[in-house]
Order: sequence, then C-alpha cells, then structure tokens
Amino acid sequence: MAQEFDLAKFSEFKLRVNVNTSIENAYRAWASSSGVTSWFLRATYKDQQGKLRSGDELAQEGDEYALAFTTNPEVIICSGKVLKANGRDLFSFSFSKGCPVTISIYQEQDETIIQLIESHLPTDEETIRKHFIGDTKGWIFYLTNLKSVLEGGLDLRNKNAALKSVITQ
Amino acid sequence: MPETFNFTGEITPPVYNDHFLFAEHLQRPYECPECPSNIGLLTAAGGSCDYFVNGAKHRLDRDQVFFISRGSTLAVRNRTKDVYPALLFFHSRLPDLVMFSLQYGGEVLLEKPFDTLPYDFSYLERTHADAGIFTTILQLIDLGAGSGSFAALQADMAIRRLFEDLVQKNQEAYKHSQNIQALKASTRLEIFKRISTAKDWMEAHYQDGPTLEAIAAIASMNSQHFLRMFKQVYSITPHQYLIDCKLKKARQLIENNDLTINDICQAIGFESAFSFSVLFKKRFGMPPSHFRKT
Repeated sequence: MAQEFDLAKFSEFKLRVNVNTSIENAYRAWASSSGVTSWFLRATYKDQQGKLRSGDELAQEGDEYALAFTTNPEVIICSGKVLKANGRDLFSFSFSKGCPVTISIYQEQDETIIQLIESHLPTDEETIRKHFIGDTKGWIFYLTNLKSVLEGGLDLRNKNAALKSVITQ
Repeated sequence: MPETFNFTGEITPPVYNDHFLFAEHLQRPYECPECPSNIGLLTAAGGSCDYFVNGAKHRLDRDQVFFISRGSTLAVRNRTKDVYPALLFFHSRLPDLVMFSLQYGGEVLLEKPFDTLPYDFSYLERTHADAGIFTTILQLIDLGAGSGSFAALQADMAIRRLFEDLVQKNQEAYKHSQNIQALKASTRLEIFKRISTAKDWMEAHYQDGPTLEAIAAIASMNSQHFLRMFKQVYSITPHQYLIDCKLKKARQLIENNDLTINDICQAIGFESAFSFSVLFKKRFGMPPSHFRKT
C-alpha cells in the first residue's frame, strides 16, 4: 500500500555534528563575524544602531547580518537578523526565505554537539526543491567545514574565484 | 525552451509562482508563437536572438537585455541555429511586493494591502545595453546547472537585487515621464519611450559627435520637437547631455588610467583642454587631477 506523502516533514530539518572543541569556541564560531568568516561565508554583524561590530565582538539579538563569498566579497548572497543570542549556547538567525535557523550547542557522550535546525519552511513544491533540499546540502558541507576548522584548522572551502559550481562553494 | 510561455492557453499573462529562467543553446531553428507575457528580461547568451514584443522585432546580442512588461505579447522566432536565447521571468507577486516595500517600507507592508496597486512597469520596456544585468543572467544560468552550496539562496538574492535595481530605474523613469506635458497618459508613455531610447543611443554613440537630427531620427521625431521633449523630460538639452556623457567617461578614464589630460581630451572628443577642465570642475566640483589615483 502506497504511503501518503507527508508534506509537513519538509517544513524543517535538523543536522547535528560532533566537534572536539569547547561550547564557548563553538558559540564564537557562530556569533562573531571573525568566527563565521573562518569556516562559512564572509560575515558582518551590525548592531541595532547600524554600527558594524568588530571581528571578535559577539552579536546580540536584533543585530543585522550580511554574508558574502570569501572569494567575492562584493556580492552579498544573504542577509537577515539575529533572532536569539544568549551569549552561551543558543543562537538563532533568519535565513533562507526569512525562515529561522537555530543553533544549539550542548554536551553529549563527552563531546560537543552543534545542532542546526532550519524551520518554518513553506511546503510548496518549489520551496521543498530549492530550499529544503538546497539548504540541507549547503549546511552539510559547511558544518563539515566547521568541524574541520575547529578541530584541525584545515579549511575545505574553494579559494579559487575562477572555479565555479563546486560543492565547496 | 518552452512550447509556449502561456501554459494555460488563457489570454491573461501567465502566473509564475517562482522565478523562471529558460535558457537553451539551440541546435536548430526555434519558434514560439505570440503569447501574453509577464514581467521579465530577454537576452541572448550567445548569437543574435530575435524577439517580437507587441509585434515589433528586437534583435538582441551580447550585453543587451530587453525588459518586457506584463501584458505585452511575446514571440520568439529564430530561423538560424546556434542561438542561445535566455528568458528570465520574475515571480508574479515579486514586482508589486518590491515596489510596495520600496515605497512604504517594511513596517507598513505588514498592515497595508497591496492587491489594489496595479503598478505600471512599462517605462523600462525597451532594449538596454547593460553588461551588468547580462552578466547576472549568465551567472543565474550557471547557478541553475551547478552544484554549489546554497545555489538557490544565491540565485534568489541575485534576482531580488536585480529586480530592486530595475524597479528603482522604473520609478525614476516614471518621474521623468511626468514632466511631459501631454493630456493622455498613453501619449506621455509613448513620447517617453522614444526619448529614452534616443538617450540610450546617445550614451552608446556620444564619442561620434552625433547631430541633433541624427539623434531625433532615433526617436522618430522632428529635431525641434525632439529638442523640446528631451528638455521637458530631463531638464537639460541633448547637447548638454552629450557633454555630460563625455565628462563621465573622462572621469572614468582619469580614475583607471595613466593617460594625460590632453590624451583623455582627444579620446573623448574635446578640442580644448582648458574648456574641458572648466566643464569638468563645474560637473564634479573638483578639478580632473583630484580624481587621479595616486
């Protein structure tokens, strides 16, 4: 008997990665622009008065952020708001289609777990195809790179601006 | 490429629930019959592509894009092979949403309904020589076929930025068109389209020193009528606009080259370096030397 296709399952996804680092380091990797730039995209955070935060300064709830490729900093590929930032282990921001991405950091089996949940995604066919599938693929690479950078310092991102369409970009 | 752009066979423009990019390197002749269109950009990623908008033929080459407004009819007829048409249609709701948010800001957007605001996007409906937009469309073709992380996110952002830029240009064009003293809106729009087509042509040919008659011919107008209308729309004469084009080019050359001021004067068609310097300072508030990179 054919199973009914449950669209609700496509409204959010959860990804977890274990990283050999402290909770504090993992939090900085998300909440500071220098941290985000080291493993993800070139990031800037601005406070609610529009003032640019310095590289190591932690972003606060209500901040605005912008992301660009490190190989092409002129082109902003995503911008949004910091929705939650508790300064320790919980950080949330608006992302694809304005939907929230929530990062929780906690200990499990003596290891630090970074958990990412992208939620409230619309469940129309186009959003599922472009954002549920596309964002899952994107986050899997970047969370792997986060683990690599925090554990050993090896940055897996493509650094050749002329090279297009590779999963490391 | 699609069989037709109007999937449902209705006479109203098609509704796109997302952005649509049609692009194909054609190895055989291709024809799409005349259909209603939504708002989009037409271009040729390779070769020369013939588009027919409201029955008029527009041949597009590299670096040229045609902005088509909703409700216009579109046909594609390419009788030769090795042509690469690319057509980007925007999400049907996006134009109104962007226009409304630019006009009223995000806060009002939540409270005010926008369904009753049928914005007119026809002020930009013509061929634009715009290498920036052309390159963005090529990048979108790459993104669609590629495997980069967050490709959809990047594409959405690029399209949104592209469209915001177009909407702002449309708003500026609308404001300029309102300077035309004509009773009927359709007359105003037609005059504006002719004048702006001639203005685009001047930007591409200012170095050749075109005469008023030659420019007026592009607008299909009598030269005195064209002069009057141009001044009404842009508050300067065509001659002043040609000088402005030259000065802008001169500034670009000064900023990016080591050419002497005399060489630049010659390159852009100024006979006197003195009069060039006077006009330059008047236009940009600083002498040419100020813009030279150290």
